[in-house]
Amino acid sequence: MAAPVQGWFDDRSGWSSLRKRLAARRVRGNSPLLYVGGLLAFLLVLQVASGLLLLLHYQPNAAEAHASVAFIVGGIPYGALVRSIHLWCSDLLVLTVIVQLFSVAIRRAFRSPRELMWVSGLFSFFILLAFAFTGAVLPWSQDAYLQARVGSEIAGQMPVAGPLLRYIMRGGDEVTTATLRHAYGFHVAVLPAALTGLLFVHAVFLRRAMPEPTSERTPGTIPIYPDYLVRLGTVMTAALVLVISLATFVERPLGVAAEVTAAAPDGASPPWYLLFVHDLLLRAPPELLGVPSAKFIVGAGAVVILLAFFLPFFDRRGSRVTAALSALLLFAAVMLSIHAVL
Amino acid sequence: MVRFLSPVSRRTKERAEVCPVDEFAAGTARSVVLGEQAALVIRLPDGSFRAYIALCTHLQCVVGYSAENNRIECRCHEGVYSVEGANVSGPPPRPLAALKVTIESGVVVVSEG
Ligand code: HEM
Ligand code: FES
Repeated sequence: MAAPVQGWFDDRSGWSSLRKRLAARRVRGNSPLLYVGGLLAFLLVLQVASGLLLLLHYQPNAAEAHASVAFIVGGIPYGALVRSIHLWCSDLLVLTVIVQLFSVAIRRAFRSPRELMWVSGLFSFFILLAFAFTGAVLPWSQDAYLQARVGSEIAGQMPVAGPLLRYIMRGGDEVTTATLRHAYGFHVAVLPAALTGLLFVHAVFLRRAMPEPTSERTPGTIPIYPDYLVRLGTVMTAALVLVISLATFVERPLGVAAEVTAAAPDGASPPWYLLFVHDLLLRAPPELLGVPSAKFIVGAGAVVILLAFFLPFFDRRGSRVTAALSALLLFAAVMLSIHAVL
Repeated sequence: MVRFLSPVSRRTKERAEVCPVDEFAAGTARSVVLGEQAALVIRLPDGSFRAYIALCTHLQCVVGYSAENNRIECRCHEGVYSVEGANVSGPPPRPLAALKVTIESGVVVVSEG
C-alpha cells in the first residue's frame, strides 16, 4: 500500500530524487550560521502565525483596541497563550538577531563577498525593531501610549530625517488616534511586505556567498539529509519548547487602558534591548556641548548606526579594529543595561 | 507621499473648562485635554493657579503634580520642574510651556496664551 502511494507522490513531487541529492551534499556541521538562519526563519513563522491569529480579534481603533486585547486575553480560548507567544517570540527574535549581528561583526564574517548580506541583514534588524515598536503601540494601554510618545519623540531628535520620521510615526504633530491607525497599518501590512522583500534579497546574496556544499567527505562535514536537517529540526523544536514554556508560565501583563492626561507611572521603561539608551537619556545632564542631551545622544546613535551599515567597507584585511569596536559597543550596551535595572 | 501619510493638522487656539473654582481644592491638580494635548492645572496652597502643557520638554512623557514635594515630576527619566514650570533637575532642557488660567463665571478655564 505504502509503496504505490509513495511512487505516485514521487512522480509528482520529485521527493526521493531531491532526498538523494541532499544526501550526497555535505555542509560543515559545526558552523553556527547554518543553524541561526533556520532558527530565525522558524521564529518568524511562529511570529506571523500568532500575529495572524491575533489579527482575527484585534480592533485597530483607539476606542476599542485595549478592550479587544483584554478580550483576547480573558475571553477567547487560548487567547492569552497566543498573545503571550507573540510577545515572547518577538523578544526571542530580537535577541537572536542581536546575537547574530554582533557575532558576525566580531568574527568579521561580513568581509567580501558578504558585504551586501551585512547591509541587508542590518536593514532587516531595523525592520524587526519597527515591528516591535508598532506592535507595542497596538494594545493602546498606558504603557503603549507612553512608548508611542517617547519612541516617536526619540525618532524626532534624529538629525535631518527626524521631524519627518516623527510626523509619519505619529500620523500628525501629536500622538493621537491616528498614531494607532498608522502603527496598525505598518505592523500588519507595510512592514511584513518590507521584511519579505528584504529577506528575499538577503537570501539571494546568501546563495552567492555560501561555500558551495561539497560532495567530498572532508572531516567536520555532514550530509544535508538527514544529519543537518535533523539537527536543524532539533534546534527548532527546542525553540518551540522554549517559546511555549515562557508563554505559558511567564505572564505578560496588559496594563490599564491609555488615558491622554494620565501622568507616566513609576518605573516606566522601554523594552529590554533599549534599556541602555534609557540609562543614557536618564543620566545625561540637560545639555551636552550646548545641545539638548537627548538630541546629542540620538544624533550620536544615528551616526553609529550609519557607520555600522558601512562596516564591511571600512574593514581592512588583517586589521582587527572593526571587530574590537563592535565588541566594545556590545560591552558598553550590556553594562549600561545592567546599570539601568540596578 | 509624505503629505498623504500625515493628515491635515489644524492649529487653533485651544481652550478647555476644568471645573468650578470652589471644587478645585488648594494643593491639588487636575488634568484636562486641550486640543490634542494633555494640560496640567495646579492650584497652589496659596489658592492661585498655574497651568502647563503636561508634556515634558525632554522626550514628551506626560508629567504630573506631586503634592508632597509641591513640584512637577516626570517619571520617565526623573525630570523635575518647579510649580512655576522651571526645569529644576534631571534631563529636561527647557521649562514647561505655560498656559493661561482664567475664571469665567465661576469655572476654571485653561487656554493657550
Ligand atoms: C505578519 C506578521 C504579524 C502580524 C499579522 C501581527 C499582528 C499583530 C496584532 C494584530 C497585534 C495586536 C494584538 C495585541 O496587542 O496583543 C500585534 C501585537 C504585537 N506584535 Fe505583531 N504581528 C506580526 C508580526 C510581528 C513581528 C515580526 C514582531 C516582532 C518583533 C511583532 C511584535 C509585536 C508586539 C511586541 C506586539 C504587542 C503585543 C501586546 O503588547 O499585546 N509582530 N501583532
Ligand atoms: S521625558 Fe520627562 S524626563 Fe525624559
